[in-house]
Amino acid sequence: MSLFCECDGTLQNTGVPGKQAVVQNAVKLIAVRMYADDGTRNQIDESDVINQAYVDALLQNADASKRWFPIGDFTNVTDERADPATESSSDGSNSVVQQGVRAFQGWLRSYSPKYIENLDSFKCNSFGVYGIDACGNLIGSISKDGTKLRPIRVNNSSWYARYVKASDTAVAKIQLNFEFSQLEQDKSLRIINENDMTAELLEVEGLKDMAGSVSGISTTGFVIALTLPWGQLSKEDVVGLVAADFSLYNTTTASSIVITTVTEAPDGTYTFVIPAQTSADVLRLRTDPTNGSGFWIEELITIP
Amino acid sequence: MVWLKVGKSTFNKDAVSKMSFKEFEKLHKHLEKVCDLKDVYKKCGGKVKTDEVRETE
Repeated sequence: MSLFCECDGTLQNTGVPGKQAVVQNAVKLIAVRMYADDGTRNQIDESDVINQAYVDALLQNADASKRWFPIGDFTNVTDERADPATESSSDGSNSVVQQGVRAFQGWLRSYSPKYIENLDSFKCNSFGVYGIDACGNLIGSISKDGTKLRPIRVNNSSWYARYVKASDTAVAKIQLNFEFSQLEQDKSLRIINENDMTAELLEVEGLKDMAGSVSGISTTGFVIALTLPWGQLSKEDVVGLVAADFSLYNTTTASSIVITTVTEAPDGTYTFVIPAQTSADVLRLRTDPTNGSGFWIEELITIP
Repeated sequence: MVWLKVGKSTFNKDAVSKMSFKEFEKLHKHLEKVCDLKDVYKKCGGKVKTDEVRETE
């Protein structure tokens, strides 16, 4: 990336205000696609009111291309820009030709190796990250017109998570390494101060994936066992969900299905009663993240 | 949507009230031993007739 984009001969003034916003290392990252599937940019407008409802709506967005994906908390974070590339002249002087790469490394302590599967899913998308520092400030990249805070673009092909097993002297951890895109410049970094938000960003959590095992399918219902697949062969049941936590959709007729009844018995196993469906129709069962259950599943069910 | 919670079951009151008790009972045979289906049906707004045919409103 050339450092000479604005070399028009104009000098900028060098006075500074009494209070300057500095950027600290992030303890939490929020990964988000740069653009949603509908073509809109994922960004925060300067007029947005960042309260808990605003943040929850992004964390629980049923559209994954607009959803916020929190990752963290991180320890042992390094986030440094390497020395710039230079060209040496015959007189021994150097000219800076390209900024060095900014690289992030952080530890996720005591995480299951299963989580690497979730992290690896970001490699195939164009995405960026907001950082949340230890004070709860939100770090992003300012738009050219100065009115939007955008995720800081990541070089997704550099994104790499490795598992470090527990030893006699260290806990197990996932080490995440990635580079920020060379299209991002440090001079574009800005923060939204924690005092300017009522949302508790340090407490945000992503939706938890569930695994579903479907049985007993008929034209008027089905049974699904929901578990959390987190590193153990014996899976943990997901208990306490109710009908309002789910949405059901007939993908064949492109129509929503109003669920009649949901019963949990035994723990983690849910029996659904639904209006009669047509044989061979394919239904899509999802959790409705906006109801705040914190869980996510998408299961396709073919009516026999 | 209005839900009725009975034990570990949640019933869609509107959907239940629109079906006959006979149909409701048939679809919820798996709950016969754990809840009073007639009571649930009534709480959802369903009308149980002697001949188990729901009167249209």
